[in-house]
Amino acid sequence: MRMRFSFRDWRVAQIAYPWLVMIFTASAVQAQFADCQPVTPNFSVFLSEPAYTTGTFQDQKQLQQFLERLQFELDQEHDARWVKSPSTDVRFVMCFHRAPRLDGQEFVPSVIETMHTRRVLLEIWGNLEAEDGGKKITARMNYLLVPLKFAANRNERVPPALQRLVYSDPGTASKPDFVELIARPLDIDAFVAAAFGFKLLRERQWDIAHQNLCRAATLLKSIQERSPRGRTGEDIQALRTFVVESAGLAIKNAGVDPKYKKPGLLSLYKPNEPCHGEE
Amino acid sequence: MKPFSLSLEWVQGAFGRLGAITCVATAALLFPLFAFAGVQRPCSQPAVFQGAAINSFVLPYRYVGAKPAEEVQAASRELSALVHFEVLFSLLKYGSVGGTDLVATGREPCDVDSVINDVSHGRSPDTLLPGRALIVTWGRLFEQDEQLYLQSYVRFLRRGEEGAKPETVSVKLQAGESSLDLIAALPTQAVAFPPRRISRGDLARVKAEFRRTMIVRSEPNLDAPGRSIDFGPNRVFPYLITETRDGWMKIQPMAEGPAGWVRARVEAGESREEWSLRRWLPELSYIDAIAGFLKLRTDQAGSPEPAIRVRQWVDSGFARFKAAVPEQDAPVAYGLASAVQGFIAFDVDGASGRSEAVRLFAKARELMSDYAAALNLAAVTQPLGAEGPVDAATVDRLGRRLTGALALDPGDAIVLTNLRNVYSLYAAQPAWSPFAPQELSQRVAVVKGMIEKVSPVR
Repeated sequence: MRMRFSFRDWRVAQIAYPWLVMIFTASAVQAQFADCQPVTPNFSVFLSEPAYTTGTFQDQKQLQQFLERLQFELDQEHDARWVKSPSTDVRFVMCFHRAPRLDGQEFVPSVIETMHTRRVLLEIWGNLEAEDGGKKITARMNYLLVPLKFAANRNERVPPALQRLVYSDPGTASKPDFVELIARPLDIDAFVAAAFGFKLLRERQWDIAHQNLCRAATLLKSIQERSPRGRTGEDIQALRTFVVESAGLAIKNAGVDPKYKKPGLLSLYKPNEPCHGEE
Repeated sequence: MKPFSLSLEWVQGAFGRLGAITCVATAALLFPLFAFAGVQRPCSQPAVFQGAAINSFVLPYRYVGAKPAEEVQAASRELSALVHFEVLFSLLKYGSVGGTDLVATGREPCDVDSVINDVSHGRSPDTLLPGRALIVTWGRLFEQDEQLYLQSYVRFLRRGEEGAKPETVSVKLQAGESSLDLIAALPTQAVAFPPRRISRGDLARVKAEFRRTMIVRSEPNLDAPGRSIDFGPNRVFPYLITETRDGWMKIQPMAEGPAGWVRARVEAGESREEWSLRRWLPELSYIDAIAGFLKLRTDQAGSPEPAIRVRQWVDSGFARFKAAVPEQDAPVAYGLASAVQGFIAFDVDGASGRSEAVRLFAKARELMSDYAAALNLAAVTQPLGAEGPVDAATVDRLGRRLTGALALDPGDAIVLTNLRNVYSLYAAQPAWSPFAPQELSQRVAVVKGMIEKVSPVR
């Protein structure tokens, strides 16, 4: 029997083809996106593979070493509790073979939902560039705040869940080093505190949500004082405004929550000035 | 050097542990001028030299990661031994010091909280006396592709009646008809220094210096014959330091062991080309500065060194650290250094140092903006730097800043106590209060309830 294509069949194929390509591409992207195991029952931050320019790493082994060292520098484990720093207690997890694209297109709702359920607060990756034989280095880092992305997927009004910061060493260091360039615990902690505070707000833990959101506001202010430019600066400002509003929401909600013991800590604060000048 | 009477007191402490009281008299006759001591012991049995004004504990530099190469494993032990000698030696100038090299005995790392808890509670001869200070140094090592990365930590404290007490300054403000009593603590008493990259060559140097250092020699000379003191972790080796000369300490064992000279400072000279543990680990200079601060604060006057000289040592210790480590790599260490120098200006210079202290506390706050205690310190002292009397607006600003600090750490007992005192002032002078009486009562109830929850400050 001979197949015959009518004009109508041709039109259907013309419309369906781009959709099929998109579906297959998305599936392929997801299929390549390696899973990463968080450290349960702690909250985790994923350190994923960055993209990089030629000359940054010689081979995959060097890339792995970069991630291992980054994890060493950021994950204080035993020692953080002995030093008693105010940082949120999270575990940094090295995610080898997990390489999100710069626009984060792999983070489809199902991926985010899984991460959110497994208490992942943040995923960090980016693009590393070395110039002039490695003398000048630049890192464009991405920080995905998982609870915010989770809320965005549910059409809630949230600021950009994907935040970006650029670090560069213009060749002043004797031996420029990407780990030293990007291992900024306070910057990371700003995003961790924002993500954690927002998650706690949704879980109706008003006091501790307020504490983390106010802390995030303070740390984001420090980032702003370095004057990040362009869209980065606007996104940081939007996030800071959001965490301050969320801290105000914690106060407001605590006031009407019959389960919140009154008068509690949050009765010392007003929703329109939730961190008392520290925001 | 210490007067004899004080030396005898702490020698009794050290010997009491060994159950050899009769040796005290003998030691006292033999060594009339010692004020310093050192020991190596397991970290499961920490003990201080009770008579020393400042004790230093160095815990092992723990290896992080998969099973390390044998030489790296050895390096973590060797490094802590070298740091022990270096810290002890740098502290000798402060008088009345004791140094302990704590050695891990099992697979578990030494637990810093547990070590501090053991020696800051109770009344046994192994524990700190009230007012005496302790500095604890520890670290971790990580190896990767012929490179090693090392991170040091330090924590310091003085003992109160029971347990560690925070270092604080007191501020009394005359506000209208009432006085307002406020206190402020250092933003933190623990610092994680930034990790440092070290080479295999450095590691080899550590090994070589360790071998040369852990020998007690007949003369202060590396070529002089001697006997090893690299004992196993279960052997306690307490010793007195009876003399120092050009980076060498003369030690006298308090029980069994060799007597003689130990090279304490791994530094051949000031030349940049020569290997120096202090240059290699700039945090050792920071620890030296912290010891000077504790020396100034400790009730026990361990040596007649005038405050001005100790202060110079503190300043030069911090300056050496800052010369080696940029501010952006160590904001907390820089912030704490500012706060410590502010405390000294506040304590030593009296009224004339207040504005300098206020400036330094503001700097600490800027660098440690997420530390509630840093905000409290700046808030409480800020009125001291202002001209004119303390008025209602000043107290209002203070109350708001304290509430802001509390937002970052609702469990900070000192911030809560200050806020309670501000509210008490409002209760006494309602005209200054920004709150209606009912709201003020509610605020007082909340703050009091929270003070009861956390450890109360009286």
